[in-house]
Amino acid sequence: MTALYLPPLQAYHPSTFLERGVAVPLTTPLLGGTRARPATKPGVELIIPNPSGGRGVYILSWSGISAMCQPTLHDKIFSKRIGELPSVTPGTIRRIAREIAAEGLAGEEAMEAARQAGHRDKDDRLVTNYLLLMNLIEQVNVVPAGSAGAVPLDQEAKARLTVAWVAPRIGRTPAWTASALEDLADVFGNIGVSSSAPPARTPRLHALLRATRAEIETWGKSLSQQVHDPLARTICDVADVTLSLSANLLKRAADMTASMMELLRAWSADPAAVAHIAARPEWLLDGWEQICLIWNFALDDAARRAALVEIAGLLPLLPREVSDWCDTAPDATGPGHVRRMVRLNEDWRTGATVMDLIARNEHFRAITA
Amino acid sequence: MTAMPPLPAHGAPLPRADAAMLRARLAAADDAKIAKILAVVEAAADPAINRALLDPLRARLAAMKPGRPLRFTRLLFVPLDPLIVPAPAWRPGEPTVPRTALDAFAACVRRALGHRAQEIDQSIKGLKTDDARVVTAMGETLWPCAAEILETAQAPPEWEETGLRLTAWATLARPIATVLRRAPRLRALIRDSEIGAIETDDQILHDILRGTADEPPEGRAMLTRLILEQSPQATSLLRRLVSLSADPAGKAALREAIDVGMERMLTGMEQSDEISVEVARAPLADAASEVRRIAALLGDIETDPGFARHRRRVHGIRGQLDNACRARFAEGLAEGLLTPLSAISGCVDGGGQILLEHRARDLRALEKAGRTMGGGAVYDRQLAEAAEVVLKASETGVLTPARRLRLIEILAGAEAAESIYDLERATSGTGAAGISAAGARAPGLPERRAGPRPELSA
Repeated sequence: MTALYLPPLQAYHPSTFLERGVAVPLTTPLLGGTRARPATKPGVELIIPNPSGGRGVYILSWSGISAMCQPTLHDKIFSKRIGELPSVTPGTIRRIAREIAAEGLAGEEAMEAARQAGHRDKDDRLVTNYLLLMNLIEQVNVVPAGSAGAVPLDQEAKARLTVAWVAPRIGRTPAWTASALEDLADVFGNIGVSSSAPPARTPRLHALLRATRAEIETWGKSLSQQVHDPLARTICDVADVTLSLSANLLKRAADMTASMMELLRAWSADPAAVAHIAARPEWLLDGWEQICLIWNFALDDAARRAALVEIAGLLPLLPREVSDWCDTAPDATGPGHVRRMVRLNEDWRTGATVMDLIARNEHFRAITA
Repeated sequence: MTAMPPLPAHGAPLPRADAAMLRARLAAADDAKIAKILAVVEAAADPAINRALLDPLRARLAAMKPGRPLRFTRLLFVPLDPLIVPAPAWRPGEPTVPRTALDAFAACVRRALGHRAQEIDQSIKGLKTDDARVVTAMGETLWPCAAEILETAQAPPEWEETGLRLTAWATLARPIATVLRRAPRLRALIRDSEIGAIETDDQILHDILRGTADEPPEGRAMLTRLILEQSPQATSLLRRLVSLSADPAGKAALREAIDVGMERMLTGMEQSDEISVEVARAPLADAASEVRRIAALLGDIETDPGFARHRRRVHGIRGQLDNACRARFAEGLAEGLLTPLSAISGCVDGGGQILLEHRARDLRALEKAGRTMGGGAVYDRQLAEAAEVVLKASETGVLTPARRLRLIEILAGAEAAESIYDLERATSGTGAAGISAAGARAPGLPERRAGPRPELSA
């Protein structure tokens, strides 16, 4: 590592989620926890956790990364594609990650998973679109079920009738209304619409984090691991704040579908505002999926101790903007410096060989496709 | 190879001629065959057959580290595994345990545990010795109890079957108890060093060393040898902690144990082909960690002023390790990558590619570990040659372009792979995806790309 070319380490607490950046699922071990955000100049800059395990981050352009480590081909191509992005969001990063994985650059398992995920997303969008429509039909109830003397209508006819009834009431055409429902399916695809449907991506991640946090707490309190309890407790504290906020944001987003007429009116007036509220839970939970995977991948006590050390360096900071989103001012900071030994040819964070960690990270790519 | 003689009835000795023939054939068998035979012998669960067939293979099995059915006796002796030797090699007072004594010790512990032994049997039923989590969890229950039992137990009736004198029971039982009493902490130390994430925990070593002055010298020797062999990164800390001890008698005893343990270990490495066997016989996936473990121990000895007198010897051993590493790398490269790639006539499928990538990664890990002892230019040349074979395999349709890129990246580095990727993209206008769809492409279809071939460097 050539320290000469590295920028100075900075104290870092982002104001907004965009400033915090979006977690980029890179496979180079030393780049674990890297986030991307728009740079002040055109392009994207990367925020990399201090590789020594101490506080602070490095903020670098991609060209600066080569001073730190040798990135994998997957990461090199990822960086080029990120640089071409008009906006950095969890969704755009996930799309690029999937495209690159589908090319085979993260291995066979990730390639297969990425290809399957494309089909799954199409299906999810269709289901969400259907559920939104069903919500609308049920809520406006243009054709009450079992109304006396009426000829029972099939769902398609009910949908047509409902859309035709709704459109003038929100000042739009039926075609616009039908199209809006499709667009809203994109927006709510990650949140989900009905509690009866299989949970969507973001509620799934919320549940995964809750389960992981419970496991970490139980493990940290076990007799043989009490020495590691402070670190486990810090991680649990940060997870608790995140879970509480995430439950709040998920509820707010889901509540929007409680009144489909209001939702369509809001969408008609300001689609970006609706999309913004629906995207908040995903922004908040961004970066936690990797943490959950690292924990779940560690199967015995020693591996879990190593996982805790790695996770401690990856904990997402909560930007001050979260208090605008949730009317609260949480104070969840990451843990301090963690002692670790550094051996030749081994990753600074976990001590495992770099090759093994790349394989593990590629396996994560397959799981999260 | 002619058919192996049938296994005898349970408990019956193997006819001498059959046993000799079997041993001769086993000695010549490759690792895959050994693994198959091991499975048959395990299924028979007959100690006589087990000893007759497996004793000559113990060194190879130790290096191969196959996952074996987890049984009560194996679980009990996991902490002492590196110290177990064939009965003829055992000497009273040595920090080793004769293999023939294991069943008798286990029987003694089982009897004293009563129904709890059956509960352990049930908990580990169907599991393997390589399930680290289960071994740790069940061991934490069993080992301290077993230590208390062996501390005072008399030789059980099964001792007669060990072929050892009755006095050997007393020579072994308390030292084994010394280790088992500290086995959960020893295991924590070992697993930490295997994963290598955090510094050696002083507290763990303190816990291990606590009360050692009251233990028999053989027990202390066993403890120190286990630490030196399995947790080499803890060696310096161990010496420091011992020197800080307030108990002069305990300090002297432990110092002596460390010195004796170190002397024995270095002599073992110098006098036999131990290093070559360990590295050469280890599965490719484990060879790098084996090299790193030995190299870490040698590094600690070299830098610790307390071991200054050993430095010259370490230099010689390092040379042996360097040679063993180069030989294993060359063999692994040929067997794991070059031969399969040259022999395949069709297109490598997904499963085949995953296997090739695993091997390539294992080779790079071994090369990185080996390079610390020398041979950099040799490794570079061999890796460059391997990358050439991969390129040729792509030209003949054995590898799709995306799969070729992956192997080139592992063998020659991401920059070499990026050059090819960019060239492909410029030529075809697609990424690897456009070409990787050729997973089902018939052999011979890939075109030779125009322009210079990118430079390959490891």
